[in-house]
Amino acid sequence: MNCPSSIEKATEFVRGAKQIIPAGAGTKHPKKDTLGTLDLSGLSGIIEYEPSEYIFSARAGTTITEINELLNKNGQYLPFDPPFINAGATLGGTIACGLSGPGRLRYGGIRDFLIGIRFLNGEGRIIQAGGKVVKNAAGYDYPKLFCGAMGTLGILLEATFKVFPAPRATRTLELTSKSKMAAIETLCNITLTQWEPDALEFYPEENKLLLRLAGNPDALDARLPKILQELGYCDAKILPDDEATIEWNALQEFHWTPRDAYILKAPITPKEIPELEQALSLNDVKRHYGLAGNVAWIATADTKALEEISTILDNLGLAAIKVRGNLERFIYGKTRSHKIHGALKEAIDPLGKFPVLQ
Amino acid sequence: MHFLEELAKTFPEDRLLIDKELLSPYESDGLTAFAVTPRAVLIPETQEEVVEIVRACVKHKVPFVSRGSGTSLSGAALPVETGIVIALNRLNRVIELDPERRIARVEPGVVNIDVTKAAQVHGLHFAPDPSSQIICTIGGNVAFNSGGAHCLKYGMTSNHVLGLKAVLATGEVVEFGNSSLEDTGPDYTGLFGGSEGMFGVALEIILRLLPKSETFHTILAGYNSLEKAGDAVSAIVASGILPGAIEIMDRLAIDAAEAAVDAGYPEEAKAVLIVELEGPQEQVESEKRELETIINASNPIEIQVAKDTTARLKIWKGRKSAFSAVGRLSPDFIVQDGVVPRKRLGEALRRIEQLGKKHGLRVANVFHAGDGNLHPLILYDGTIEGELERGENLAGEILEMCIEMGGSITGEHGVGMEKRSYMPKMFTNDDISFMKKTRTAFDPDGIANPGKMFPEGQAPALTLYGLHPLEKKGIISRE
Repeated sequence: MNCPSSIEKATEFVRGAKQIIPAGAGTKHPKKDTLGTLDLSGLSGIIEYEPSEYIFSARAGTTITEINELLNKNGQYLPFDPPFINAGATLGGTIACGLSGPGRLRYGGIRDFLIGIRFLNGEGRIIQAGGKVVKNAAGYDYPKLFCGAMGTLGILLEATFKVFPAPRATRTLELTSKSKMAAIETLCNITLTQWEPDALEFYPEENKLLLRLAGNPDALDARLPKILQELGYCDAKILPDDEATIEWNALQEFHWTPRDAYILKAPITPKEIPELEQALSLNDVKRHYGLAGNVAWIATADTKALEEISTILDNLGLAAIKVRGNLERFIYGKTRSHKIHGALKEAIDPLGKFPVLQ
Repeated sequence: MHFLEELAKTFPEDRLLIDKELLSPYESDGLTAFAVTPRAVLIPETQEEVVEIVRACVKHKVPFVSRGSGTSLSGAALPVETGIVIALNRLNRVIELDPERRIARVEPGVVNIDVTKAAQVHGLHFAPDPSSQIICTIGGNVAFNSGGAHCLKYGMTSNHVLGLKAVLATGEVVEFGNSSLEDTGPDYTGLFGGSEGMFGVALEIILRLLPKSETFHTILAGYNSLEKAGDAVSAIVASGILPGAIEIMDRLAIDAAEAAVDAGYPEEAKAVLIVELEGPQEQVESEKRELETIINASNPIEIQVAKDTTARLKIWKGRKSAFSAVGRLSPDFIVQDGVVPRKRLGEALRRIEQLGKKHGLRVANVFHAGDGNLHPLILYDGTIEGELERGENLAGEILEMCIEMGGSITGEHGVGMEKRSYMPKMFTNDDISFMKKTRTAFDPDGIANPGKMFPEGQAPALTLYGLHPLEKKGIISRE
């Protein structure tokens, strides 16, 4: 395995290698000790942080924990709640997997906060795209393209993110309904309110919603009684702060999945959840719906079940991507195949050094 | 069969324009300095017709430029002499508006504000609000990743596009993204946004809608120097408040706005600052007190608080009309939209003032202070020999300053025709060659909006800058 300590060494490796599989901390896709593996965890560290500009730049191998510690000190945060932080996730891996957590609901996901990248293309040339200011419309938007590209388009070296001032307080409500349908209906009602929910997650097995509100403590405490009243039709309770922290942390770290489980991410909308729920309840798989019913996280440790899930998703017209687990295959469910996908990959990686998303 | 004859089988005379006088409205966009007469203008009414046109262009290798309302300030919709213009205004259907998923699926010719108009019965709105929103179209917004006054908090157009269907410049019809906030695989939707019409033509766009904010609190403060207004911005940002918009206008811009719409801005002020808080009532109430303390400590000479919606809209009317209003102060002007790091705003403004003196031209400033997006308006008189060139040089020096300060040559107008010669100052040859390779995958023959973004290529001769005819009538305004 190659673990370069400098950009020069990484460049040298890319120029000489025939096949390259970029890796970060291995929190999602365990690192394999093969000739082509390029371990980027050595390229870490914060390059620039300007609290007054709401931006920071860091090397791709920097852990999110390190970023968060720095941001916390300055009352700022990454609003999209990147997952697997405690597990040791890096910026590069999180970008490559296009992962956002519950907080994506309010201000947007990783694609919306990544504003600049530097990466190595297959020829070993350093390409920069985007910039270091929060507003910029010059050149093609590669930062967005690289979100979710799973390391198939180039080697991320550095990333610049927009950050926001952290809310001063949060309050969490646990809402239990009589049925799944009732819970989904409540969820849809909440998304149309003017409360500006910070996060809204659905636990299908318990007909439960977890709602997070964020803002100034006095404002939240003034609003909560009204919200509770409006939600009178379901069983609503305010979670104590420590309990709430545990709940949100469990979601962010995927504690609800068995350690060895594969995790699929399937974009969905609330309308499609009942059908998917019905189809998946036949199998022994864990599910959770995040972002106010905009993402289904599906977990199973069984590769055979994974195939069944793929068929179920395909039948429902849903696509999914594997975000954890060491299989070569990433794409499940409905696949969309356009010529441009191949043409773009070839244009960006003409020597075919990076993996093909399959 | 020849290219136009082939299309004439589908398109009647009134939708395939070839007469010189019928083509003239399409010669320019909002950047009136450039004008090119295209070979023809096609006016499709359905998505299938757009696909047919693009495929005919591919077959005959004819360049095409797609166009909405032609409000681009970077020459994005400037025609190509040997090519055609595809006018998308009749593809203006809101195909689907779903409150449950909070999305709108629209065609590219839908006018920006019409999305919000369609959504507001459900209490929803489309957040990106370029100043030309009452006339600019979603297709153009997507192609140039348009901004507006609320980008600091809500981001730009691309941040609100969840998916799209497009015909690429290869003739392939593709779908990227979906109706969900999430996606799988590389974010092709994100790449298509801001590609300046060089990848193909969007046929359908899925937009994310947000509930309208419960309440707004808009405050306008007048200062006796630009610097003080800038300091107030820094203090607001440092406080941890996240306003929906933070805008600054200088004296010249205030004069223009006053002359145009009688906005009631402070008479003595050298600069005005507009800050808007928005969100749940209790939160805004809480931030309002904090903001008041900050503003009071920033030594303003006057403070106006919008008491109701009418007062709020009046403040915004002055701001949004400022650009076209500058036309009252000067026969011609050039507008730039470079970005600098927010903390260097004061320095940037001082340097712009010095550069203006150096070139003997007045510069009015209106800018999105929250995100460092400048909008210097360089005033000149095209009938005076040498003023246009001096204006051009001044504009160029301002862009170079933005790059030197670590910013960008464009915050929201795009590179287009106007700023392409500055791309090599912001990007390396490797960066630009990588962009070109990407472009080739979407457009191997280089027929989609050729001549934009990349530095080379023959620019058409400059003509006089001036107001767009619609601006003169007061129908549209600039960011």
